[in-house]
Amino acid sequence: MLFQVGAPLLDACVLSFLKREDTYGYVLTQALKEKLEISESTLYPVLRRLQKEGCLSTYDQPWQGRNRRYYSITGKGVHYAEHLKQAWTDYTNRINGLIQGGESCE
Amino acid sequence: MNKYEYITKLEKRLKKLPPAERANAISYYSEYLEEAGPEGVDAAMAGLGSPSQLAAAILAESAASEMESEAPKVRRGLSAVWFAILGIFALPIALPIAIALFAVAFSVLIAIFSVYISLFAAAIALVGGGLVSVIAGLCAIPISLPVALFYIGGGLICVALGLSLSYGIYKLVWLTCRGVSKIFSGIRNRKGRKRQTVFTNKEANV
Repeated sequence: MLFQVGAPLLDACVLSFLKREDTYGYVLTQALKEKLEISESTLYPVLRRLQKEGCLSTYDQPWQGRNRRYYSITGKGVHYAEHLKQAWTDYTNRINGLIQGGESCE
Repeated sequence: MNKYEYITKLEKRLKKLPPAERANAISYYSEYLEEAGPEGVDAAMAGLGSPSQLAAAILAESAASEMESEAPKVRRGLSAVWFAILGIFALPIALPIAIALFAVAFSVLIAIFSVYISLFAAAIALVGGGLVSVIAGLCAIPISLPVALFYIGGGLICVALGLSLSYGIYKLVWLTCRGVSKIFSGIRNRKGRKRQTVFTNKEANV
Protein backbone atom coordinates (compact mmCIF):
# COMPACT_ATOMS: atom_id res chain seq x y z
CA MET A 1 0.00 0.00 0.00
CA LEU A 2 1.11 3.50 -0.68
CA PHE A 3 0.21 4.91 2.72
CA GLN A 4 1.28 3.56 6.07
CA VAL A 5 -1.31 2.33 8.52
CA GLY A 6 -0.09 3.28 11.99
CA ALA A 7 -1.25 2.09 15.38
CA PRO A 8 -3.99 4.76 15.88
CA LEU A 9 -5.50 3.99 12.49
CA LEU A 10 -5.47 0.26 13.21
CA ASP A 11 -7.12 0.99 16.57
CA ALA A 12 -9.79 3.00 14.79
CA CYS A 13 -10.44 0.21 12.26
CA VAL A 14 -10.61 -2.53 14.89
CA LEU A 15 -12.84 -0.55 17.24
CA SER A 16 -15.19 0.55 14.47
CA PHE A 17 -15.54 -3.01 13.26
CA LEU A 18 -16.26 -4.27 16.78
CA LYS A 19 -18.81 -1.50 17.27
CA ARG A 20 -20.98 -3.32 14.75
CA GLU A 21 -20.62 -6.81 16.25
CA ASP A 22 -18.49 -8.92 18.56
CA THR A 23 -16.18 -11.24 16.71
CA TYR A 24 -13.08 -13.39 17.07
CA GLY A 25 -9.51 -12.91 15.91
CA TYR A 26 -9.64 -14.84 12.66
CA VAL A 27 -12.72 -13.13 11.27
CA LEU A 28 -11.44 -9.73 12.30
CA THR A 29 -8.10 -10.34 10.60
CA GLN A 30 -9.72 -11.56 7.39
CA ALA A 31 -12.14 -8.64 7.33
CA LEU A 32 -9.42 -6.04 7.77
CA LYS A 33 -7.11 -7.85 5.37
CA GLU A 34 -9.70 -7.35 2.64
CA LYS A 35 -9.48 -3.59 3.01
CA LEU A 36 -5.96 -2.95 4.29
CA GLU A 37 -2.70 -4.62 3.47
CA ILE A 38 -1.99 -6.02 6.88
CA SER A 39 -0.30 -9.32 7.69
CA GLU A 40 -1.85 -12.15 9.67
CA SER A 41 0.19 -11.22 12.71
CA THR A 42 -0.69 -7.53 12.81
CA LEU A 43 -3.81 -7.67 14.91
CA TYR A 44 -2.76 -9.73 17.92
CA PRO A 45 -0.65 -6.96 19.51
CA VAL A 46 -3.33 -4.39 18.68
CA LEU A 47 -6.08 -6.47 20.29
CA ARG A 48 -3.91 -7.26 23.31
CA ARG A 49 -3.04 -3.60 23.84
CA LEU A 50 -6.63 -2.40 23.45
CA GLN A 51 -7.72 -5.10 25.86
CA LYS A 52 -5.13 -4.04 28.43
CA GLU A 53 -6.18 -0.42 28.09
CA GLY A 54 -9.76 -1.45 28.82
CA CYS A 55 -11.11 -0.56 25.38
CA LEU A 56 -11.99 -4.19 24.65
CA SER A 57 -13.25 -7.07 26.73
CA THR A 58 -13.18 -10.74 25.77
CA TYR A 59 -15.35 -13.75 26.38
CA ASP A 60 -14.99 -17.36 25.32
CA GLN A 61 -17.69 -19.23 23.49
CA PRO A 62 -17.46 -22.97 22.93
CA TRP A 63 -17.50 -23.99 19.29
CA GLN A 64 -16.89 -27.53 18.00
CA GLY A 65 -15.15 -28.70 21.13
CA ARG A 66 -12.89 -25.68 21.60
CA ASN A 67 -13.25 -22.04 22.48
CA ARG A 68 -13.59 -19.02 20.30
CA ARG A 69 -12.42 -15.86 22.03
CA TYR A 70 -14.78 -13.08 21.12
CA TYR A 71 -13.75 -9.46 21.43
CA SER A 72 -16.31 -6.87 22.35
CA ILE A 73 -15.97 -3.12 22.63
CA THR A 74 -16.33 -1.45 26.04
CA GLY A 75 -17.70 1.98 26.90
CA LYS A 76 -14.17 3.30 27.08
CA GLY A 77 -13.51 1.75 23.68
CA VAL A 78 -16.52 3.51 22.16
CA HIS A 79 -15.28 6.78 23.60
CA TYR A 80 -11.79 6.23 22.21
CA ALA A 81 -13.20 5.24 18.82
CA GLU A 82 -15.22 8.47 18.70
CA HIS A 83 -12.08 10.44 19.50
CA LEU A 84 -10.12 8.64 16.76
CA LYS A 85 -12.88 9.13 14.23
CA GLN A 86 -12.97 12.85 14.97
CA ALA A 87 -9.20 13.11 14.64
CA TRP A 88 -9.23 11.13 11.40
CA THR A 89 -11.95 13.31 9.89
CA ASP A 90 -10.04 16.46 10.78
CA TYR A 91 -6.86 15.02 9.35
CA THR A 92 -8.36 13.84 6.07
CA ASN A 93 -10.18 17.17 5.67
CA ARG A 94 -6.91 19.05 5.99
CA ILE A 95 -5.10 16.68 3.63
CA ASN A 96 -7.97 16.83 1.15
CA GLY A 97 -7.90 20.59 1.38
CA LEU A 98 -4.20 20.62 0.56
CA ILE A 99 -4.40 18.11 -2.25
CA GLN A 100 -7.49 19.54 -3.88
CA GLY A 101 -6.19 23.06 -3.28
CA GLY A 102 -3.03 22.04 -5.11
CA GLU A 103 -5.04 20.62 -7.97
CA SER A 104 -7.11 23.77 -8.33
CA CYS A 105 -3.92 25.85 -8.65
CA GLU A 106 -2.83 23.89 -11.67
CA MET B 1 5.17 -28.47 9.58
CA ASN B 2 1.66 -28.95 10.94
CA LYS B 3 -0.10 -26.47 13.20
CA TYR B 4 0.78 -28.35 16.39
CA GLU B 5 4.47 -28.27 15.56
CA TYR B 6 4.11 -24.60 14.68
CA ILE B 7 2.47 -23.78 18.03
CA THR B 8 4.99 -25.86 19.99
CA LYS B 9 7.87 -24.04 18.32
CA LEU B 10 6.21 -20.70 18.95
CA GLU B 11 5.74 -21.55 22.62
CA LYS B 12 9.43 -22.41 22.93
CA ARG B 13 10.45 -19.10 21.39
CA LEU B 14 8.17 -17.16 23.77
CA LYS B 15 9.79 -18.46 26.97
CA LYS B 16 10.96 -14.95 27.90
CA LEU B 17 7.41 -13.65 28.08
CA PRO B 18 5.57 -13.61 31.44
CA PRO B 19 3.45 -16.79 31.72
CA ALA B 20 0.10 -15.00 31.36
CA GLU B 21 1.21 -13.15 28.23
CA ARG B 22 2.62 -16.31 26.74
CA ALA B 23 -0.56 -18.27 27.41
CA ASN B 24 -2.63 -15.51 25.83
CA ALA B 25 -0.51 -15.38 22.66
CA ILE B 26 -0.48 -19.16 22.34
CA SER B 27 -4.23 -19.46 22.75
CA TYR B 28 -4.80 -16.64 20.24
CA TYR B 29 -2.62 -18.20 17.55
CA SER B 30 -3.81 -21.77 18.11
CA GLU B 31 -7.38 -20.53 17.74
CA TYR B 32 -6.30 -18.62 14.64
CA LEU B 33 -4.83 -21.70 12.97
CA GLU B 34 -7.87 -23.78 13.98
CA GLU B 35 -10.16 -21.21 12.39
CA ALA B 36 -8.17 -21.22 9.18
CA GLY B 37 -9.40 -24.79 8.67
CA PRO B 38 -7.62 -27.69 7.01
CA GLU B 39 -7.47 -25.98 3.61
CA GLY B 40 -6.40 -22.55 4.86
CA VAL B 41 -3.95 -23.51 7.59
CA ASP B 42 -0.87 -23.58 5.36
CA ALA B 43 -1.66 -20.17 3.93
CA ALA B 44 -2.26 -18.86 7.44
CA MET B 45 1.07 -20.21 8.68
CA ALA B 46 2.80 -18.72 5.67
CA GLY B 47 1.11 -15.41 6.41
CA LEU B 48 2.23 -15.48 10.03
CA GLY B 49 5.83 -16.19 9.07
CA SER B 50 8.06 -18.73 10.75
CA PRO B 51 7.53 -19.37 14.47
CA SER B 52 10.72 -17.46 15.29
CA GLN B 53 9.64 -14.47 13.18
CA LEU B 54 6.25 -14.41 14.83
CA ALA B 55 7.80 -14.81 18.29
CA ALA B 56 10.21 -11.97 17.60
CA ALA B 57 7.32 -9.71 16.59
CA ILE B 58 5.33 -10.59 19.73
CA LEU B 59 8.38 -10.08 21.97
CA ALA B 60 9.19 -6.74 20.35
CA GLU B 61 5.63 -5.55 20.82
CA SER B 62 5.52 -6.62 24.47
CA ALA B 63 8.89 -4.92 25.11
CA ALA B 64 7.50 -1.69 23.64
CA SER B 65 4.39 -1.81 25.84
CA GLU B 66 6.59 -2.61 28.87
CA MET B 67 8.56 0.56 28.17
CA GLU B 68 5.40 2.65 28.11
CA SER B 69 4.41 1.44 31.57
CA GLU B 70 7.87 1.93 33.06
CA ALA B 71 7.00 4.77 35.45
CA PRO B 72 4.82 2.79 37.89
CA LYS B 73 7.30 -0.07 37.75
CA VAL B 74 10.06 2.10 39.19
CA ARG B 75 7.83 3.14 42.05
CA ARG B 76 6.99 -0.46 42.76
CA GLY B 77 10.71 -1.31 42.79
CA LEU B 78 11.36 1.56 45.20
CA SER B 79 8.66 0.43 47.60
CA ALA B 80 10.17 -3.04 47.50
CA VAL B 81 13.48 -1.52 48.59
CA TRP B 82 11.76 0.30 51.45
CA PHE B 83 10.10 -2.90 52.54
CA ALA B 84 13.45 -4.67 52.50
CA ILE B 85 15.04 -1.95 54.66
CA LEU B 86 12.08 -2.02 57.02
CA GLY B 87 12.38 -5.78 57.21
CA ILE B 88 16.07 -5.60 58.08
CA PHE B 89 15.45 -3.06 60.85
CA ALA B 90 12.51 -5.05 62.17
CA LEU B 91 14.51 -8.28 62.25
CA PRO B 92 15.92 -7.89 65.82
CA ILE B 93 12.37 -7.40 67.12
CA ALA B 94 10.49 -9.64 64.73
CA LEU B 95 12.75 -12.68 65.13
CA PRO B 96 12.39 -12.98 68.95
CA ILE B 97 8.66 -12.37 68.64
CA ALA B 98 8.41 -15.12 66.07
CA ILE B 99 10.42 -17.48 68.27
CA ALA B 100 8.26 -16.60 71.30
CA LEU B 101 5.04 -17.17 69.32
CA PHE B 102 6.35 -20.49 68.12
CA ALA B 103 7.34 -21.49 71.68
CA VAL B 104 3.91 -20.51 73.01
CA ALA B 105 2.17 -22.52 70.30
CA PHE B 106 4.45 -25.47 71.00
CA SER B 107 3.82 -25.36 74.77
CA VAL B 108 0.06 -25.10 74.25
CA LEU B 109 0.27 -28.22 72.09
CA ILE B 110 2.29 -30.03 74.74
CA ALA B 111 -0.22 -29.02 77.44
CA ILE B 112 -3.11 -30.31 75.35
CA PHE B 113 -1.33 -33.59 74.72
CA SER B 114 -0.42 -34.06 78.39
CA VAL B 115 -4.09 -33.67 79.28
CA TYR B 116 -4.84 -36.36 76.73
CA ILE B 117 -2.12 -38.61 78.13
CA SER B 118 -3.45 -38.24 81.68
CA LEU B 119 -6.98 -39.03 80.47
CA PHE B 120 -5.60 -42.07 78.67
CA ALA B 121 -3.84 -43.17 81.87
CA ALA B 122 -7.16 -42.84 83.71
CA ALA B 123 -8.81 -44.98 81.03
CA ILE B 124 -6.11 -47.67 81.37
CA ALA B 125 -6.52 -47.58 85.17
CA LEU B 126 -10.29 -48.00 84.81
CA VAL B 127 -9.91 -50.98 82.48
CA GLY B 128 -7.21 -52.56 84.64
CA GLY B 129 -9.08 -51.99 87.89
CA GLY B 130 -12.29 -53.30 86.31
CA LEU B 131 -10.54 -56.48 85.12
CA VAL B 132 -9.06 -57.05 88.59
CA SER B 133 -12.47 -56.50 90.12
CA VAL B 134 -14.04 -58.98 87.70
CA ILE B 135 -11.37 -61.59 88.54
CA ALA B 136 -11.89 -60.97 92.28
CA GLY B 137 -15.64 -61.40 91.78
CA LEU B 138 -15.11 -64.70 89.92
CA CYS B 139 -12.94 -65.90 92.80
CA ALA B 140 -15.63 -64.84 95.29
CA ILE B 141 -18.40 -66.94 93.65
CA PRO B 142 -17.89 -69.96 96.02
CA ILE B 143 -17.88 -67.65 99.09
CA SER B 144 -20.85 -65.36 98.47
CA LEU B 145 -22.84 -64.97 95.23
CA PRO B 146 -24.13 -61.38 95.90
CA VAL B 147 -20.61 -60.13 96.68
CA ALA B 148 -19.27 -61.91 93.62
CA LEU B 149 -21.98 -60.38 91.40
CA PHE B 150 -21.29 -56.92 92.86
CA TYR B 151 -17.58 -57.21 92.06
CA ILE B 152 -18.14 -58.63 88.58
CA GLY B 153 -20.78 -56.01 87.71
CA GLY B 154 -18.75 -53.14 89.09
CA GLY B 155 -15.67 -54.40 87.25
CA LEU B 156 -17.52 -54.67 83.93
CA ILE B 157 -18.88 -51.14 84.32
CA CYS B 158 -15.32 -49.88 84.95
CA VAL B 159 -14.00 -51.71 81.86
CA ALA B 160 -16.78 -50.27 79.70
CA LEU B 161 -16.15 -46.76 80.99
CA GLY B 162 -12.41 -47.11 80.40
CA LEU B 163 -12.88 -48.41 76.85
CA SER B 164 -15.31 -45.66 75.87
CA LEU B 165 -13.03 -43.05 77.43
CA SER B 166 -10.05 -44.30 75.44
CA TYR B 167 -12.13 -44.23 72.26
CA GLY B 168 -13.09 -40.61 73.04
CA ILE B 169 -9.44 -39.73 73.60
CA TYR B 170 -8.48 -41.39 70.32
CA LYS B 171 -11.04 -39.21 68.51
CA LEU B 172 -9.82 -36.07 70.28
CA VAL B 173 -6.17 -36.77 69.43
CA TRP B 174 -7.08 -37.38 65.82
CA LEU B 175 -9.06 -34.13 65.59
CA THR B 176 -6.23 -32.17 67.24
CA CYS B 177 -3.62 -33.58 64.87
CA ARG B 178 -5.77 -32.77 61.86
CA GLY B 179 -6.40 -29.23 63.11
CA VAL B 180 -2.71 -28.61 63.73
CA SER B 181 -1.70 -29.95 60.32
CA LYS B 182 -4.42 -27.81 58.70
CA ILE B 183 -3.14 -24.67 60.43
CA PHE B 184 0.42 -25.42 59.38
CA SER B 185 -0.48 -26.18 55.78
CA GLY B 186 -2.52 -22.95 55.72
CA ILE B 187 0.53 -20.95 56.82
CA ARG B 188 2.71 -22.72 54.30
CA ASN B 189 0.23 -22.14 51.45
CA ARG B 190 0.03 -18.45 52.23
CA LYS B 191 3.80 -18.17 52.23
CA GLY B 192 3.98 -20.10 48.98
CA ARG B 193 1.45 -17.82 47.34
CA LYS B 194 3.37 -14.74 48.45
CA ARG B 195 6.57 -16.12 47.07
CA GLN B 196 4.86 -16.87 43.79
CA THR B 197 3.51 -13.34 43.38
CA VAL B 198 6.96 -11.91 44.09
CA PHE B 199 8.32 -14.25 41.47
CA THR B 200 5.84 -13.18 38.79
CA ASN B 201 6.46 -9.52 39.58
CA LYS B 202 10.14 -10.11 39.07
CA GLU B 203 9.49 -11.86 35.81
CA ALA B 204 7.28 -9.04 34.63
CA ASN B 205 10.10 -6.61 35.38
CA VAL B 206 12.58 -8.55 33.23
